[in-house]
Amino acid sequence: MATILINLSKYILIFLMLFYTFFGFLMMRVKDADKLKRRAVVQNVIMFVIFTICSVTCMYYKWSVNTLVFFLLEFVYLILFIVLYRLIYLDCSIQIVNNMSMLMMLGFVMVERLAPSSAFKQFIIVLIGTVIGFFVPRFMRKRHVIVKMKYLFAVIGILMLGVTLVLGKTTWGAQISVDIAGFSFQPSEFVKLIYVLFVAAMLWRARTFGKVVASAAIAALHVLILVASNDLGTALIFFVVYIVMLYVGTGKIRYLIAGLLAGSGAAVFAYKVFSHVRTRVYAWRDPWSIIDKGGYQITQSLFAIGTGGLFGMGLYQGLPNTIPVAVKDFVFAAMSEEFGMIFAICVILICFSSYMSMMRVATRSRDIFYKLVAVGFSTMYIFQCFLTIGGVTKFIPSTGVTLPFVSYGGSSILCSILMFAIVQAVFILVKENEGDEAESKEPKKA
Amino acid sequence: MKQNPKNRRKRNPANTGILVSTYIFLAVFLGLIGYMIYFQVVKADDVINNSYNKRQSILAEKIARGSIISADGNIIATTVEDENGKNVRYYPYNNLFAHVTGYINNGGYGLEASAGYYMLTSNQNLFEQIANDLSGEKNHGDNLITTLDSGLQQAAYDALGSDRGAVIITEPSTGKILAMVSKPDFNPNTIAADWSSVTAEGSDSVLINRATQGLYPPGSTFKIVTLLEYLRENPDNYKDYSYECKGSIDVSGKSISCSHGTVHGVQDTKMSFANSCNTSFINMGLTLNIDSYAKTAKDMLFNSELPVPMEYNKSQFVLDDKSSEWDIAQTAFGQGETLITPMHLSLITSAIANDGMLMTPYVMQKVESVNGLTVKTFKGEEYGKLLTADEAAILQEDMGAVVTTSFDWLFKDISYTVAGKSGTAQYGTQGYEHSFFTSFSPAEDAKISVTVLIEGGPQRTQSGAEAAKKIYDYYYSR
Repeated sequence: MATILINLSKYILIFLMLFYTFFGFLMMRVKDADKLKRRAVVQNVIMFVIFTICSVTCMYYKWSVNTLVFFLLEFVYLILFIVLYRLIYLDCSIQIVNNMSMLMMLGFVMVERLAPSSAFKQFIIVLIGTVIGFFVPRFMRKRHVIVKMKYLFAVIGILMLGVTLVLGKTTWGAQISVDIAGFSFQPSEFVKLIYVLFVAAMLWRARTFGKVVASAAIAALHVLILVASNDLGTALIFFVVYIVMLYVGTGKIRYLIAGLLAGSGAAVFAYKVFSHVRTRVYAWRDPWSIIDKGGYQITQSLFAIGTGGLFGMGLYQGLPNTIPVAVKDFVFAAMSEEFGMIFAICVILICFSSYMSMMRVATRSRDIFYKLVAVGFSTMYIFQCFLTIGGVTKFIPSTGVTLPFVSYGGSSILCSILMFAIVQAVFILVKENEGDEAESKEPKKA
Repeated sequence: MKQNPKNRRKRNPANTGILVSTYIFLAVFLGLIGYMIYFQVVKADDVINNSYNKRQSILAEKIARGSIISADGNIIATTVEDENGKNVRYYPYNNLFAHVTGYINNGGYGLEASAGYYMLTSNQNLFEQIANDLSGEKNHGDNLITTLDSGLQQAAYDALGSDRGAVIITEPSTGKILAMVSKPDFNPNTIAADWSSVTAEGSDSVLINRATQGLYPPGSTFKIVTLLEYLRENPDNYKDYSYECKGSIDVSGKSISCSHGTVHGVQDTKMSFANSCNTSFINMGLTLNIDSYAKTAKDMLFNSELPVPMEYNKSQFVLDDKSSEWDIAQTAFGQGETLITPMHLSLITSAIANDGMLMTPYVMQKVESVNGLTVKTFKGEEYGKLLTADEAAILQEDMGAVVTTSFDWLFKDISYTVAGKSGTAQYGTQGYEHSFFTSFSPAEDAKISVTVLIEGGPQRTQSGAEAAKKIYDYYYSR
């Protein structure tokens, strides 16, 4: 009987996920605020049903009182998150909040499934991130301060990356983390935040060629240090984010094309010069011939995805932990194995719809600085999603980055929450601005 | 259409940039999703069928393993329910297909291990799958259609009789493995219960597939390689070769004689081969360039990985430029330290029969869903030319001469033609001999190739050629 229920729940989860995803896309067209709020509640209900089914399944397979208490805490957290976010960030984007909570919920489930001992830590970091996030709108209001601090941001960013390069410990062949007071900390995740602020501050007003060159040089320095640390994923993210921000900021397509050409040239150069870059490419081109060594992780990932099929093995029915670091960089493969590919594609669509919502915030901002900030973080987010999902499915070489919100990893979660919080802050400012305009126009009409 | 005045306003150039980059990412993600669907629908079945994937036992809980079926439609292995309603594997032919199909338990072997994922993947109708999931029934795994011909398999099995050894029957033009037998054998139905006795010290190693894993001295069958090398070194004047066999030859002060001390008289290359004249081959061998000889052996896949879809051992050829005259002489007529598997010998003969082109041998023909839909078809693939068509033509003719000259006593009153080469090799000190016979038929345009090895020992009842004759008799009588 239990197996039948579990199998049934597998299909129900897929159905709910499809419903949630397409409902989310339909919501994008809704203009009326009240209607939007009602629809958002429907999405929330679906999310909580999915969470309940998953947590009951987890407890069925691995019962402990702790797990129950823990899931209840997370349940309460998600409710508070959705309610408080809307209270504190009056006028935030509801779609972004809903998708964020959906992805965090999947993260809770996947960590519990794959690395239960880390689940509590993950939860604490989410709490900390959420609390810090509540202060973000205040900070983001101070544009003049942020703009003045731009060179400080650059110096801090480069120093932090440099320190990681020198002192960092090597995990999976990359120097990306340093230990501080027993906590493993990934400076590059923090640098991501100030990097976007820096680039936006450089490009928002003076768009002279000299400024462009200066910003490009500093951005390139970031990228070079990351390549030297073998953190190729983050290096690519920094590069692409800069190119897109430069293109949007200047409106000149030749920068986009020149940037992509330069990037391709640099990639070929890096391939020729750095053996660790070549290793990744070999493991991508033919992992089967080096299945014992460099190809092990990606082939295990493909086994997981392939065995899962369209409908998945069912939660706790697969072997996702045969993939090394499944809970971090390869969480998408683990999810695909147990929930199935249809579900996994829904997750991709949710990521993409979050990106679209954030880019929409960017289009609505009249202020170029905030516009660039929103573009920078949306691009950062979606490109990172692309790198991790493309990497674990062997669409592109694996670069070892996390799936924001879903993967385990304190720095990653913290950074993701703050990235979204900043975009939400921009959205609030946009709305205020639009409100002011409407008010100032009102008397004239009369 | 209602026009919003705001929309008419010229778009902010920065927003054009946002739109363009959004579309770029949209295209990238559509590509990614398209690739994932392609991977799942087209590639995944092959990808997951890998010994590094540890999910067989998990899948077996959800899917009733599909059947293994012969090319002529007989079920070789299937899943049935025992009295407790538990799924168990059943092999209707007991020992007959044992080494090819293999077994599931104790680590797995043969097709059951190497093609396990195909049979543990269900391409049953999706709605039936969902319905089965929801009713707690197992889904039916896909069926594996092999290239094995159950009639030939039975004939090969019977031809070996009580002898130990191996038979491989292939179709040289495609690489299909039509039959493969190894004896002594085991019963896959009871292998789990018999495990400790068949693996006990001093047992007959019944689990080893002698066809692909048994290494034997090739004996005179190796003269194929020596002759080929001689042809390669003397392309224009090999026909002028002449040697007078006096029944024995002195090498490094020791005498080596022809089989049974026969004096063959004046021999050219063809007659040397047809009579399997040891002294003439030693004479040829001692003229050879050893590096080139080793390269030809390498071309013939000695010391190399074989394109064989099952567990096998690599054959060995040990000569190099430091080898002594004695070793070269021994190797040239098939003694020495050279070792070969029956499967490897079958590949060489198949390549000769197929005008030099080796077709990659295969035993999986098709994967079908339980509803009869074809999931995947395996086709014969060219592995590569082992020798040129001209070289193959000479060897075909010479192998034909072997049968008409040395085996006329056996292949008499027959309605078909055969070309082949025998080989006997002594082992141990008691004078026991392994007996090889590798062949194809018809001699002019090969349809099948039969390679037989009979292990030497007190129990040996026949030569490889005699067993092969029984198989050809069956093949041409049906």
